[in-house]
Amino acid sequence: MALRLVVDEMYCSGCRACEVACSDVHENTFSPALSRLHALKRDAEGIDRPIVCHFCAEAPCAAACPTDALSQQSNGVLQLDATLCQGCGECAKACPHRALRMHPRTGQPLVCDLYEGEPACVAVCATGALSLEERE
Amino acid sequence: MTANGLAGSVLRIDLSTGDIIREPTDPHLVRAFLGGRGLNVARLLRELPTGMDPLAPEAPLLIGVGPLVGTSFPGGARFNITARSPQTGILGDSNAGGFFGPELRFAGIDQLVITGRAPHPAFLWIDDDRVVLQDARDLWGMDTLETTVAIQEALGDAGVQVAAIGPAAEHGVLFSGVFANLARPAARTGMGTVMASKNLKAIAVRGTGEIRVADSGHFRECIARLNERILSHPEYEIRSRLGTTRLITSLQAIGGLPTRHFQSGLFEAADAVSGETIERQYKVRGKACFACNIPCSRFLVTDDPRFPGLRFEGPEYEPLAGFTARVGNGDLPLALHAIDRCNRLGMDAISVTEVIAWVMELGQRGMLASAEADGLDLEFGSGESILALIEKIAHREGFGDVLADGVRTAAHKLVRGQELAMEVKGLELFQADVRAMKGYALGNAVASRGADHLRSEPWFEFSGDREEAVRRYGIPEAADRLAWKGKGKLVAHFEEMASVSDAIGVCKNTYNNMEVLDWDETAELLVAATGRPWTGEEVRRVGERIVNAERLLNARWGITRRDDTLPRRFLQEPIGPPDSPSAGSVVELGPMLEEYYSVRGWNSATGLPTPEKLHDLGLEE
Repeated sequence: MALRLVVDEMYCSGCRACEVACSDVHENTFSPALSRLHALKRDAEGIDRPIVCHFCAEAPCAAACPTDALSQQSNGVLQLDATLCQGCGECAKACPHRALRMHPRTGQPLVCDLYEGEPACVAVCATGALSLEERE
Repeated sequence: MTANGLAGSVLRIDLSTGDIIREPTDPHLVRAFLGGRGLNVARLLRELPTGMDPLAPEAPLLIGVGPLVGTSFPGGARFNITARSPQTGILGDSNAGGFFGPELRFAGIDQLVITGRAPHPAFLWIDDDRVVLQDARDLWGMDTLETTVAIQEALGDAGVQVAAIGPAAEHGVLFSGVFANLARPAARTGMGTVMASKNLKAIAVRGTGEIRVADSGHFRECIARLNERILSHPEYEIRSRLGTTRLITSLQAIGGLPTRHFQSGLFEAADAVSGETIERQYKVRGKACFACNIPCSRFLVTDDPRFPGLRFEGPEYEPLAGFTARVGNGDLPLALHAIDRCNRLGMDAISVTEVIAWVMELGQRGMLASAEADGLDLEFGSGESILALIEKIAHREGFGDVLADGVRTAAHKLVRGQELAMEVKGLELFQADVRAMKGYALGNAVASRGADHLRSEPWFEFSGDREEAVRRYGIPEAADRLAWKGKGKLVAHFEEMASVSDAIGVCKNTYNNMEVLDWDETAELLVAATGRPWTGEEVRRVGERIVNAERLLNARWGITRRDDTLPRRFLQEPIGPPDSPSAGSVVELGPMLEEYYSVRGWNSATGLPTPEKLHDLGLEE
């Protein structure tokens, strides 16, 4: 069994509390730029869309990593070995969902690890736009 | 990066010279004023010469963002924009939510101080540490939506936050606002007009930085408790569904709608224009400000063939009641279109609906002929006239030019209707009849930016909880909306809460109206954020200090007790209709003012702070 994030865009209020919560638990700071997920927003069209890691099978991001810094565990979750990462950004370019982003200062990818099965983004989401599902 | 809840810097921009200076946020000022609105008034007291024309290039325009903005505080989203108001000549100050305030903080900014006048239209581009003035000549004339999108496209980043002015500000309409996220206006007191006078079309910001608090573990605990309190609040469900639009129905229930320019407290078409109707017919999805767990706003899509493509975020209650009850219009799609036009043109919908409703009452009373008003039909509810006047005002065309300085000046220009002008200190009154709510009446009379409910928002008078009123204020009538007793204490208390929420940068829906944190809990949160000791009483005193500082500033421009009044209608004409739950009520302002000045420690003859009070608050000049 593995976990994954499920998005129901119809319920997203676009508040970005998920981004804040993610940076809080992972980085001990408040910074949407350091969040592992982000909301794509277009105010004029009323679009609010959480962009999250899909934990793709045979993840393209890990495959694109030239130094094997990024690897995929058996449950689908990605793992970064920061000592191997050169910050080339190939992983982010390879992400088909444009979910993977780079740390603006260290230049390394911000990898969603589902926070040990209890992601703060899901916990803080007041509308039910984000949830956690088990998959085979 | 210091872990004290501050973004760290004050950014000074001189648009005339192009000089940009970054200085550290002064911790002493934060201790005394916290941030946001508080930091802004503190700087105006120090740096604004009393006689300076509000539209002079040298006049400072301030944007303050409080220490909880950008944190996990739900709805810690708000910024205050402050200057001397060109509309009223006294304190100008307006507050908005959305995402612009947090982005400024992530770019390291607690306050922007803008002076000067750019040689040609420009927009300010704050890209983290890099701050540049960009040419905006091709943006001049664009509406707020076009401007926002054009800047995001030019910068190649739809995540850039933009606060923009519209054509109304460019034409010098004195009640033009500053619009963030298209529909999040800091609309009141003409702050957009000040921006236009500086040739500043917009401020764009992208911040990838961070806000660190001193004790993140304890901060997290406090926020978890706060979230639980909001989510379990009895009003959570209705606020999430309807937001402020629910007030059409609740004010109709007490007979407090501003129908046909406050000639009746009941509006026959209330159901047709209510928040419930909008939810049923047009709401697509709930929308929220930064990190807020109450999606009190909404994105709506309409399907009326008269207004093709009409879709936007909103409306809030104020523009909704303004373009329905106040102007006597029961046509909801037309009202929504009018609101969208005001947002795009960049005007304060409260002021716009007052001048339109005032003109319609002049017409009704035979005091103004259609021929004097560009041949417009002056009947209440004339949709054609409502829409025409919006455009005329925004462009200062024809009769619109008479109205574009606000209702007080319009009455002077036309030499009539002064006693019907619904304003205090030159600012138009909100969308509720204060004869049905005496605390709000007092709050509007004494508010520091002219007629305004958000300076106090004393919701408690609707509670009917007399026991709690005795516990809080020692006076049971403080819980009774139609009683005047206890309202001085009530308003003083809520003014301090409103000042603190504007200073720390949080929303009054939760902080004031839902009372989700008391003084001690606010202090606990500030200790966790700043790492400095705070007590509940010290937090309250920041609120009191802000109220007094704003009064002191206004006193420089001649404000005294004489100006703490209300339109004659509220003081002399009993509210109708006879079968309404508020029927017969008038505002007993005199005794409420006496109580208020006494609670404030102000001289009741002058309405000004005593030297002892100023000394006590560290505000000696």
